[in-house]
Amino acid sequence: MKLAAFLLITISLCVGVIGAITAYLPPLSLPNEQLVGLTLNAAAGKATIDPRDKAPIAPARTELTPEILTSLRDQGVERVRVKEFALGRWPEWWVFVLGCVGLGVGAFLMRTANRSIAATRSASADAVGASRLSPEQTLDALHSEVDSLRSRLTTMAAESDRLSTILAEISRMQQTHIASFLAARSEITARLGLGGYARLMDAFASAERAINRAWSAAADEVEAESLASLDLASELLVEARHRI
Amino acid sequence: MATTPPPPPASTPPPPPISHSAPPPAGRPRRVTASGAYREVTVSSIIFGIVVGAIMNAAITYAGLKIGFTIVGSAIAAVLGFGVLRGLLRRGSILETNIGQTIASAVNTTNAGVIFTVPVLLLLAQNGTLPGFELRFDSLDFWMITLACIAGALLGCVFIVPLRKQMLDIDRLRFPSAVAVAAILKSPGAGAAKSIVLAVGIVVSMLIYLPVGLPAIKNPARLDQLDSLVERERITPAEAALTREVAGWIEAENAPDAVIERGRSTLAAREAHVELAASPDDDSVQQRVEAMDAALKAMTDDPASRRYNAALCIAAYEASAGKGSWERLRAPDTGWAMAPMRGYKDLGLRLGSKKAADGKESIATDRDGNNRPDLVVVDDTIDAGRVLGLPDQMAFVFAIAPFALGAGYLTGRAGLLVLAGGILAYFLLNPLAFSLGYVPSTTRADEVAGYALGAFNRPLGIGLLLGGAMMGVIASLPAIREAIKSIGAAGKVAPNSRSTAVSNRTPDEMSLRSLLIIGGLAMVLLLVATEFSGQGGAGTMTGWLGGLPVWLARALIVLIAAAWIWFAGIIIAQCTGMTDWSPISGMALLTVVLVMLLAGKEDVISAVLLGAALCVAISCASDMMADLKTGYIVGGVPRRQQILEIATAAIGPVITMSTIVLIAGVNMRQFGVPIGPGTPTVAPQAQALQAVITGVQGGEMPYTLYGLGAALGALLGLGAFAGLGVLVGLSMYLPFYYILTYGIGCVANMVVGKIKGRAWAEEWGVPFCAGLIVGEAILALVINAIVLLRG
Repeated sequence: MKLAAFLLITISLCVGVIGAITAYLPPLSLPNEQLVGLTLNAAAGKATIDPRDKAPIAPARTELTPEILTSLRDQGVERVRVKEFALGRWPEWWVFVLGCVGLGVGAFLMRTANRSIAATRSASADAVGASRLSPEQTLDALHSEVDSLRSRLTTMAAESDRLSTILAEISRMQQTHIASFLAARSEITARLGLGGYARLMDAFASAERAINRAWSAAADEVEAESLASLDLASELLVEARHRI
Repeated sequence: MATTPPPPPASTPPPPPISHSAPPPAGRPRRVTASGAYREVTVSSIIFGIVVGAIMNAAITYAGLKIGFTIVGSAIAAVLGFGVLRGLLRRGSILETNIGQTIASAVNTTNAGVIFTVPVLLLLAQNGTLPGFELRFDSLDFWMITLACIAGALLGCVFIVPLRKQMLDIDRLRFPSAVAVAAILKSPGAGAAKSIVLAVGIVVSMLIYLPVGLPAIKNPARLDQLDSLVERERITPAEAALTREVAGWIEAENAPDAVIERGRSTLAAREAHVELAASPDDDSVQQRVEAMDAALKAMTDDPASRRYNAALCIAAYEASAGKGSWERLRAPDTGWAMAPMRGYKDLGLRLGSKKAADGKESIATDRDGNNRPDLVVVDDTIDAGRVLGLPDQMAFVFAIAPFALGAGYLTGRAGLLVLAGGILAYFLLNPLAFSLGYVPSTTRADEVAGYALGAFNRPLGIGLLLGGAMMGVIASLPAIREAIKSIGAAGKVAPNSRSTAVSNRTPDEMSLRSLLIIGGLAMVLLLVATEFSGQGGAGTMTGWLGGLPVWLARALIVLIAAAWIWFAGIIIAQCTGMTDWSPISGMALLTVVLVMLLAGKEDVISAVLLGAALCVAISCASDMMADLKTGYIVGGVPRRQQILEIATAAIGPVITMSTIVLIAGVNMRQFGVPIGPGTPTVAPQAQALQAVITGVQGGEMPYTLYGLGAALGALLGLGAFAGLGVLVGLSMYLPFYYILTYGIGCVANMVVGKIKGRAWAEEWGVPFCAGLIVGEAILALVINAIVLLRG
């Protein structure tokens, strides 16, 4: 269904845009009284000699007169681009509306498909034996790793060892648990709603920023700040876990 | 799914504290303050940011007015920050350097908004739309416009701060350039291998971009070079002929009488204009100026002398009168042919020859009519479509832009939607419109892309941006509400918080109350600026608000403009966040149109003033959001960055406006006109806005297309995700060649992710692509500095 929705949206967008393009292009098949007095916004008329020497019948900013209209029609020109818009001079308005309706239907189908996919993912995550970690498990694993890192640091004698461990471990956490938690956005949003997701991410993002700060401080060899940031990250992760 | 809160996670007991208050060993750089705190906001970083930002601002204002070059400057400031704070001072921390680049880019970024808008007033003064308008340090308009720009900078900052959580924490917008800056900042701790990858990215970027940028550096051509330059299509045969003719004058130390007379008359007319500017009410001077202008126009219109420009005629007159050297004629401004340094164009890669029946080169291979197959690779683009034999109306052209490649990679999968939108617009819709006869029949197939961009792609694209952004705001309302609630609660101790570290820490965000106060102050400043600029309160309004008392109408306009600034700021931040592209010119265009509709088509000063405020606001908003993203990645405290950006917001507009006044004053003395054609500072971006204003006054704006595009954008946002309308709008708004190069980056990210895994693609791809972005920015800055220094 998602593919069908995607195709419908794409086609409808094209239809809508093509319809919109004609808004300022009244066909010359309209009666003169609807066209005379309009101002051209682009040159009109066919090039009569070498295409490199463009010679329009009427240049831009020309006001349309019955004579100009006759010349244009004689040359087989079907439309002109004018400055003024009027619904009555836009016969293709229905094409635009058709595009809009298609986009609306496509959006409905897409949302339905997305909801269905999110529900399926959530169910599979809840299923016993699911190999992929759920967002809660990912958060717990991240929290455990942060605390484990804090504990390991107390056993290391050399400051340089502690700093290099912080750098290496945080880099690993960023690529594993943090990345997989962020990848579960649609699943969490489907469960908690956008408001709930926002509340969760408020705490999680603060924790992630504290982890990032711990990394920067370690890179700058300011160990005290790095450790304080890890402490903060640990507590914020607890906060995030409660929110989920 | 469980409905009750789960128990707290089982974790290891809190580890015992480690004491680390001892100072670092001697010889190691000290990245803590005297009180032992981690260096973040320091006097050094603030001074560094202001000084670097001010220098970049003035230099880029000049470059922008002269050649249209602007740059945000975060990456440059980050690199300089390393050199100064870490290298010279040997104590700058990652976060301190981040603060330095934050301030520098905040001070610098305002120039993009000002030079796009303010010089248009000087251009309009020249063409008679704004008679008597001047920008001087002692003119009220100068200070009012500066005030409006400061108000804009403040509004841009305070409006975007409450959206930080929504855009960065919740929506996780990518901000490719911000990621690149963060990669630079993090390089000291990222390990030698990643630093090397970053450096390789920079070098590769510079090598790719060098032949794009070098041709901007030019020297006066020697006579023996002329044939070669014509052969390489660097100059036209007409330019070569003029150069030879002028060389004859220099050798003979004489020029035709008509040229010398025109030079004398031009100088006299300029002096008269200066006199008129000093005494604008003197009728006799006015009449003399009009007579001189008429005589000069007659000389200029003479077909025999039309190919000689004013600078050449003046130089010839001065040389003949003994006031200058004949060698002065050998200069770029006189029309003397210039020999650029070598670029991609000089590779001479051309299409295969294809003769028509008359023996001449076919139109299919020779669009410019010089009877030679066209070049496939010019300095900044590669026309792959013509090599592949695609129909002419499909412009399959790639920009040679490592920056776009890097931004595309860093955007990743989301950027594919921009590519898809571009392909839809330029490969399907434009050719379809062409075949259906929706493009004037005087337009050649190969001109369709250019025509469509101006005629309908860009207006529809702007509309899509508006509709898409509106839908994005509506769809994100729950997240925005939570984000604002969270900011409102910042600083208050949560009653149920068990965490000491969490509850005692400094608030992450500026308080809503502070933001409201600063925002209110900025709106008052904007109202004052609008009230006292141009005609001020004595003026009348003829627009939609024409029936209201002038003071009330102006207050309403400021309120509407402020609301629009907020909305436009969101659009720009979303665009730069998702793709790195910023449709600032489109937003400025809409502001000017909006104000002219509200206040009347005559109230150009108010329109441009508010347009300037908006441009400054949205450039500050997107810069602040990008800086906050960088700060997020390196672990900075957002509140500190926000306070510093707001505190330094006034500096940028003052520097930019002062630079413009200085340039305009010098130009006025030298050339008789303050800015624009006829001066070295042609203000290309302001000329574009001038065309828009003229278009509004002439009723040429396609308002309906904006509206139809907005409807499509809003409907697009209902589907897959709210930002889709913004992405598709952006793809229709931008020239396709940048989108294609950007798209290669997006595809590369996905391919590398597939082959080597996502973690590898991030770990090694990010520093390399950060290098691509930074390398082009640095080289472009250097080349433009050389161009400016050489005059």
